[in-house]
Amino acid sequence: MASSLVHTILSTIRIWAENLAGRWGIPPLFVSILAWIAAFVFVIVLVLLMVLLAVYLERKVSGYIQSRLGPMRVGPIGLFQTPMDALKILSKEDIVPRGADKIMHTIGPVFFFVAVVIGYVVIPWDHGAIAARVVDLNIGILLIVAVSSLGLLGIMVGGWGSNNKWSLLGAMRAVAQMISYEVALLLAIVCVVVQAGSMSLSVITADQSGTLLEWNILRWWLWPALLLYAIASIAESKRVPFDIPEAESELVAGYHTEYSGMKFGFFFLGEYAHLFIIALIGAVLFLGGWQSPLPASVADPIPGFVWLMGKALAIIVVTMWIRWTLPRLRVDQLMEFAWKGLVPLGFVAIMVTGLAVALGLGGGGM
Amino acid sequence: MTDHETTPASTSAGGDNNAHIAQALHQRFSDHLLRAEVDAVGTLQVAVDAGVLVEVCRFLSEEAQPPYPYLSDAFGADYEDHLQVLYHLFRAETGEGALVRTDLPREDAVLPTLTGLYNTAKWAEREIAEMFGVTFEGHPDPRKLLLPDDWAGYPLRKDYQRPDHPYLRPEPLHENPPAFLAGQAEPEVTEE
Amino acid sequence: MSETAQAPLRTEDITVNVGPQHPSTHGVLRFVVTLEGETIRECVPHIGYLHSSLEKIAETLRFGQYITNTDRFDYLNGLGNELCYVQAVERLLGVEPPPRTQFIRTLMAELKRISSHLVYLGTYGNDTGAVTVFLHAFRERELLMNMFEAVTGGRLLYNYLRIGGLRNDLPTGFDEQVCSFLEHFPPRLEEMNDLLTKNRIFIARTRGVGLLTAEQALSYGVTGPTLRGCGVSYDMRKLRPYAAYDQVEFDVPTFPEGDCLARHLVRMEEMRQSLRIVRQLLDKMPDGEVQADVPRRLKPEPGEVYERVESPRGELGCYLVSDGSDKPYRMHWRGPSFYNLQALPEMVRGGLVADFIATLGSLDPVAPDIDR
Repeated sequence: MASSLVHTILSTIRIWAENLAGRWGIPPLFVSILAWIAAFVFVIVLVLLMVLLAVYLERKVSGYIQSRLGPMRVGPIGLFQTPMDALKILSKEDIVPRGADKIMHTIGPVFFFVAVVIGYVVIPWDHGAIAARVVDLNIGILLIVAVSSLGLLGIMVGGWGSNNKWSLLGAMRAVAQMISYEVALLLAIVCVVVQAGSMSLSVITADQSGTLLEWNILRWWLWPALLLYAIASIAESKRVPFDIPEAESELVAGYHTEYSGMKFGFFFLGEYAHLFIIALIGAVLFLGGWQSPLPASVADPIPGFVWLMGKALAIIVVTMWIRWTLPRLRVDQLMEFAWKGLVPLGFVAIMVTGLAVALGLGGGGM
Repeated sequence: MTDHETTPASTSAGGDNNAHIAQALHQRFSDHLLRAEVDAVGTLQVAVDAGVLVEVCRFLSEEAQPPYPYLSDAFGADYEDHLQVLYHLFRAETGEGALVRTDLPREDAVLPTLTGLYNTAKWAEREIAEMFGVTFEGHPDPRKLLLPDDWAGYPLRKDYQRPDHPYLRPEPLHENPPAFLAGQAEPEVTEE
Repeated sequence: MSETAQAPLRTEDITVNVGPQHPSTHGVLRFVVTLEGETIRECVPHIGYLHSSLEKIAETLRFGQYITNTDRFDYLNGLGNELCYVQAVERLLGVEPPPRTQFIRTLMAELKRISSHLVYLGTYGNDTGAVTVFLHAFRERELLMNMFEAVTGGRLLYNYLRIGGLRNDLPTGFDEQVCSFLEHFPPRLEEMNDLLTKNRIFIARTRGVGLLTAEQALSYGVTGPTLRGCGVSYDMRKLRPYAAYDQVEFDVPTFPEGDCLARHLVRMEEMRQSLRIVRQLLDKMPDGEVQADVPRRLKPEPGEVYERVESPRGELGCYLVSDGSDKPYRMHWRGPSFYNLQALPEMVRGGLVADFIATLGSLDPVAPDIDR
């Protein structure tokens, strides 16, 4: 019944492409390439929509927390404010500072954005045979982590290429922070992988099928991993209290100080896209992915796609709540926290999960 | 408010102390001391020769009983025939202050620096130097503080002439300036 | 400045400009900061961007005309500056303002102190990364601004005090306005306190940061909450009571640590003490005139005064010389931020960039107060 919306779209694209190829006599390899491109375009559109949503949400949530209204003027309850801002940013002048490395300055934001967006291809949006995703990799989670660390290169290149000391400082901070917290993040992910016995995100989702109690968030042996993921993922998305790479009051704007127009837009979009993918992964790893929390006996009219989005949005709202409440850590405290607090906790989490799985509590390889 | 002058017990005691300090100053620096007395509100007023300024301040901040160990403020004044530099010393426990002043000629105005005694003097003396044209001998960092590095003249002197600047026109910008504007266009610098 | 260490890896200090345009310089200030990695080697303040020649302007205006300029240098403490100047002129003239005037002046100065500390609280939250406190603090400040507007007609620049009195008495209904504020504000203050002061991250960011010993502070002429945060109970309101401060009871909060947290706690406590003072002043407010008899054309006898009051940033001094004419012959302001800022390089040396921002914010400098 809940036929996968995303699946339908993707298969339509493929069938359309294959028909076209058949009619024009295009070699099948070319067809596949075309189909991938179409799928990628689809993903990017999806990402952009999500970013717009996240930015709007951020403004509204911060407004609520700071006892004000947030955007209200453009469109009903300010809904069009963010799209208008996106249009504005497209029309802005692109400034490259004197003495900056033009190529590096341009590559930086693009690299960062692409690295984040690639992660979206392995997210399982909904149930289905080949499930609803662009690719079903059996190392999906590994791909996301690996590729999103590549985004760091974009930050470093952009910060260094800007010929601005604040940018350089921000980039150095970003690299130091993200490398440190990636370790913690990975350790948390490993726990879930041990539990599910696979690195494929669809298998991890399937591992949590059944009742609500099967969700990883309600499996007590994964609680250390949950805590770890919650902290490290906020740090990965560079948000308060871990926003030191772009600490406005210290580094002006950190690594994107010298960016304007759409290049800045790429950093901005990339950041929110990153936030969203972190939330999506969190939803997949701990909240049962696209699965409905309703008991199986009840017919669920809501497609899994919506459930996944809803869970991700809930996680995002929590990060925003944190962001608009807490002060910022200092750079040395941040590193200390990562290496002296989170990494040891990560090992404990792996041990706890491993023991639980070994004793037969956990699933351990379906 | 009638008891305003009399309330703080420390003031009268401070007045006594200040009288003692003034006496001690007279004994110690007899010739070079121009004035040392307690004024109406209990502040110790001291006027000295530039030559003994450092010694007097050191005496006040170390040997006087009780001492005035810290400098809260230093500033200058231009009296047309001479310049004056004033130092406001204070005591943290009671908040009492002492004003030490010294006169110096307008041309070739040189004073020894007090930065060795008080850190406060570092910026205060730089400000006096650029505003009044007083040279502080031995100042560790005699750059301009508030004014641009290439500023000419000493703005707080009474005979200071405003430099030409496109935004500072000598004539008012109005076509037909009202009388009061025209009258104030050239600031009255000297006293009638 | 590059004393490169003889390490196997060649390192280089970098020199960065904090300001004149920087998100957290509290006005137009500039610091040239030499960094070794993130550690601060040296910090050189460059000031004077907002110099407005207030001392020279005073020499061209009559005594009464100058009051309007006093609002403008330490713009967070307009009524307090007016109080300092007006008291100096009154001492020159030998005029005693009526008791009601003294009470109203004190009341306004204390309300102004709360509003100034609220600005500090908000901006300091911003400096340490907690943006929300800013809006909450400014929401409360708005109530105070409304009160100032009701009394003086202005929200930031008042021109309210007169030599020997006030421009006008308090408007009807002002008491109720203050009373409702006194009821409404303390829980809100505690809420902001919970949000910022009790936050572990905030404490970690400020404890032991920007250390200043009492001896250092005094030798730099540092005053106000910064000095009281070093454990020195130095407050002009207590030591040499002026206006109606001898009629009210209040404590001078001190904290001995000398770090950013201590300064922050002093200011938080001062707001509570100010509320206490305001309450007492309202209770004891005498009736009567608000303007003493003062000649229309003020010509004080030749002489000089050095008047000191406690501004929210420290000891505000006003030196005034009269030569018997109707204009001051010489006037000098002791801006507390000027001397407080002088101690900054001492406090931030060896710290991190983030500490620098936290320390600068904890001094609560107002740029025109530095430059005057």
